[in-house]
Amino acid sequence: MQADLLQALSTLASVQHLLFLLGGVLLGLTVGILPGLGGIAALSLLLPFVYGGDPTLVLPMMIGLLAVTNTSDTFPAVLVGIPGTSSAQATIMDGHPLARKGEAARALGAAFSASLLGGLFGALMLTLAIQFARPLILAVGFGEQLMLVVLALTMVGMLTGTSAIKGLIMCGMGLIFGSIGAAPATAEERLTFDMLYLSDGLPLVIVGLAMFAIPEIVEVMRKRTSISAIPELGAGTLQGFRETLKHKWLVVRCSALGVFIGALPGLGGAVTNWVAYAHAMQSAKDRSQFGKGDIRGVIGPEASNNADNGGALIPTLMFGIPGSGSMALFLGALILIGVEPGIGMMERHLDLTFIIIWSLAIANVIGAGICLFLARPISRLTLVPFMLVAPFMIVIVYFAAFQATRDWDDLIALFVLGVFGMYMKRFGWSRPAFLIGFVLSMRLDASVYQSIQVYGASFLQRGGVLMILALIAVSIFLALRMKVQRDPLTATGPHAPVHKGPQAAFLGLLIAICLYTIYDTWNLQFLGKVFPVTVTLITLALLIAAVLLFSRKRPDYVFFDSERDWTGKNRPAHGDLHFQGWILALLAAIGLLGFILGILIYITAFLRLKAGVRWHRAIASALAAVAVMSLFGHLFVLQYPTGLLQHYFEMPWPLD
Amino acid sequence: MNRHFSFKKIVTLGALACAALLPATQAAAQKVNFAGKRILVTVPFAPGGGSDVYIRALQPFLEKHLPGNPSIIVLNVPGSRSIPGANRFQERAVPDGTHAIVISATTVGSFVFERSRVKFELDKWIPVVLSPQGAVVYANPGLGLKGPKDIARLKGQGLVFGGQNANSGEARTVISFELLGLKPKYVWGMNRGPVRLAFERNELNINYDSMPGYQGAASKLVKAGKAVPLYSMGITDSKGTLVRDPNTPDLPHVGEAYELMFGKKPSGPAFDAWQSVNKMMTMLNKGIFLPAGTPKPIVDAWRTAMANILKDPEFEKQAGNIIEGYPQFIGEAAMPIIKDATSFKPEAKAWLRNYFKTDHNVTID
Repeated sequence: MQADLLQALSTLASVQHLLFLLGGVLLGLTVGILPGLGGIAALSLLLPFVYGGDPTLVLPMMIGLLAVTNTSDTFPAVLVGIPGTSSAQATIMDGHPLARKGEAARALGAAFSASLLGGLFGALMLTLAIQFARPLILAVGFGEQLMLVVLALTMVGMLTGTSAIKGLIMCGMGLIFGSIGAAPATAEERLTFDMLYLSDGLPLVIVGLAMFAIPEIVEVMRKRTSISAIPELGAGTLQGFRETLKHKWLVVRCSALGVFIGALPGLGGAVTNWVAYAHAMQSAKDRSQFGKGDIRGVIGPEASNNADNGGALIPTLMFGIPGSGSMALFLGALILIGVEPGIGMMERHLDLTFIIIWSLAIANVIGAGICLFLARPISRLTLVPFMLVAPFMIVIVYFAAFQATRDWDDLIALFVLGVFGMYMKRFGWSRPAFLIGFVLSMRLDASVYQSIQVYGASFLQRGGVLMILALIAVSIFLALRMKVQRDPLTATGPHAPVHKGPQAAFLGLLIAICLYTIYDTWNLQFLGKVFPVTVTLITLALLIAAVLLFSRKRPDYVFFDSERDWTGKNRPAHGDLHFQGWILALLAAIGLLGFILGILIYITAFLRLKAGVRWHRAIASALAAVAVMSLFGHLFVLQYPTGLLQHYFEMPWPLD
Repeated sequence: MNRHFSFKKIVTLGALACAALLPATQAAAQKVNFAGKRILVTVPFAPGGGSDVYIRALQPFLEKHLPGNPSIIVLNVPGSRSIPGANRFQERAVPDGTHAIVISATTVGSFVFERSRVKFELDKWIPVVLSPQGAVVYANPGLGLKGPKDIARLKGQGLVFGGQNANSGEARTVISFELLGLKPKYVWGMNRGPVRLAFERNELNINYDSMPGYQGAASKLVKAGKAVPLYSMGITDSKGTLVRDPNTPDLPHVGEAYELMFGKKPSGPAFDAWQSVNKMMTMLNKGIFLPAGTPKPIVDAWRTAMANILKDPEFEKQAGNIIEGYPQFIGEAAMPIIKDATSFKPEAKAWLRNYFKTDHNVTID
């Protein structure tokens, strides 16, 4: 066993093997930075080259790639508030506020060192797990899976924001939005408006971008500043590194969470980082800075999302069951190179298993090293006037959204949900609570139904179920006990009951969504509607309570309008609608001219009109973006959205 | 020089020119050459799935055997039982040999059962190759059986079966249960991997796997005494008769399982319905198609390339397991299967519609 372990290391220690590993790492870092592209995109790009290759070369390359996408996805999350992959959503919560304070380098330093340690922890756990974890995984039956989903859902308690009732409503909204698509029990379509696009549910990428990227971009544009409010970079990368070491037990706990959740098929990275974030909050004594730039809010999720890979590899290698989307592809690749994962993997391919583990560890070190090295120079992006960066960001967000299903509906969904996200932010409705509800919705629906179908109510008597139930009780207790740091209630502040119209309209919209959900699902079979109807009725009850609080005339946390945070000179020149218009304008440009010509016109116009750049420079910048996008599209074989122009005329590459 | 051509002269010259050009075009067409071209193969499924692995295994060999060694680009358009991907292919594919699509049983299922959303004309597309893929049903030994002969013992036992939903890829298995008089409790909304885990945990006690899954993970369970194989779906031979799966020659097929259960040969609309569904899901399990209207020489180039791939010893060595043990249907040989799988006898369709409606509350078109 130890001999095999060392044998694998010495195999890897040759120049050729390391070069393949490095190649994978560089590719992984690149796609991790680009929102919308992640392990899945890069791995499908590699697949043709993987085929028939030497497994000891190809495996390090693939693992190198998968290991580091969750490292570099922190760059856009921290610097611009756009999740590089869906595992980086929670990092935005505190990472981006740090960047706004001019501490981007510190946040990145902490994030990358946490990623590094989390990744190593994951590799260590994988080594142990391949010997012992089989009975553990087999012990997690339908009932235990249900309880784990419920446990993850209780993490919402930590993330409700200033008004608990609004946070719970948003969680309910997330559950409702997440139940769009085919019902697990009956395959009936719910809330799809009879659109094929919605029959698989809303893509997570789109929801993530809409909840975080769009509102963030609009807010910074309205301020007309750079991302960082301070014109220089504060404390550096090394300080971040030291802070990670200071919070070493947080790193260990969050890494353990990452491995555990990653090992459960069906949850994965999008859940892990939120659970870790909530845990970082739960376990902190002073919570006043969370959401405003607490370094622990960066360390926790970043440790967990890299540890996640080690966890996700456990069921992939031991059972041949992918723990995540990119693992599904990895599994396909293993079959292509003639390695059959599953029960026999340990006996027949022990050498390759150890190569995988070592590659995972080494890739994490190399990936984090490169990122740490680049953190400070790349952080300078936060000092550039944002109007110069904004059009490129908007283009990237649309590009990322289109990669979800490569359908025009992706762009429309992004815009509609993005506007929804903007008002959620403006009126103080918790977006993390929404996302957690959204991610867990289908799993919750399916596992309630499956547990009851298999066990009836008796699943509650299983030992594992009771153990997790106890954890759930602890989690709820901690959430109830938590005191949120809140601004004082004043007669003029953001929580004052003045100018209630816009807020009331949004509240009305939420009620309308609930009523429509009941109308839409009412005629389904019992098993198809029981979940959405129950969730909606609870949400509706909470909404009615919110309306009652809302109708009173004294300040309350149920009121919030960030527009009143802008006072005096800070008042932005333009309202929400102005920039919604600008975001819509790109949609129109693409709709008419297709993606490449559309972004050419859009970036030029934006730079000229909003950023005051001279015409020739604006055009040159736009052309550069076009060149990059075209080349990129060619290399990665991406398809771009087409417009009316392409519909009527045959266009040459790259305008097609 | 006389510049005034008479009408007659023009016609004659034109006809001559055409006659001269005709063999030339034929010759050009026979020399189909994809040199320097990118061939876009649409896979209406997510990367890493069965259809994706299938085309990626073929990819290097198609590049090697298609004239001019084009590069093959795989384009995944996943989602909604492959309808959007196939619809898009129907809408956009250019019939010049540079566009092809990989379909699976799911695509055929959508084509047959979800007419209202389907805009593609699978029965008009031109088949290059069809690759059948069988499946095996196995059960928990705790149910008291040791092999296929004990199948009658399943009657009246509390069977639990998990899957995605009644009318998707599981349909051939679900209908075989109905045919055999078994009424398992169904747990829907689950993918194959988690289903096998739940089977191993004894939460589900009857399950199936397609042949690669069966020969991989499930056969380990059989060896460890945790699963008893019962029957295979069987395949259709060139005469249209149901025969045993060549990969599991010792296991009875569904027809034989019926005989073990009831002591007589199966017949009637239920069996016809199952046979059509089985052709759809087993015989048409994977396939490569070109868009309607692709010129004959180009189609022939593709089919020849595919035939050569199957003869290529390299392919045999590296990727034989992708198509393992099953007869491959190239070109016209595929037509009868496609016709059978996409057109049901009216009584069989009526039976199927009624069965899905009453037992699963699922409406099919």
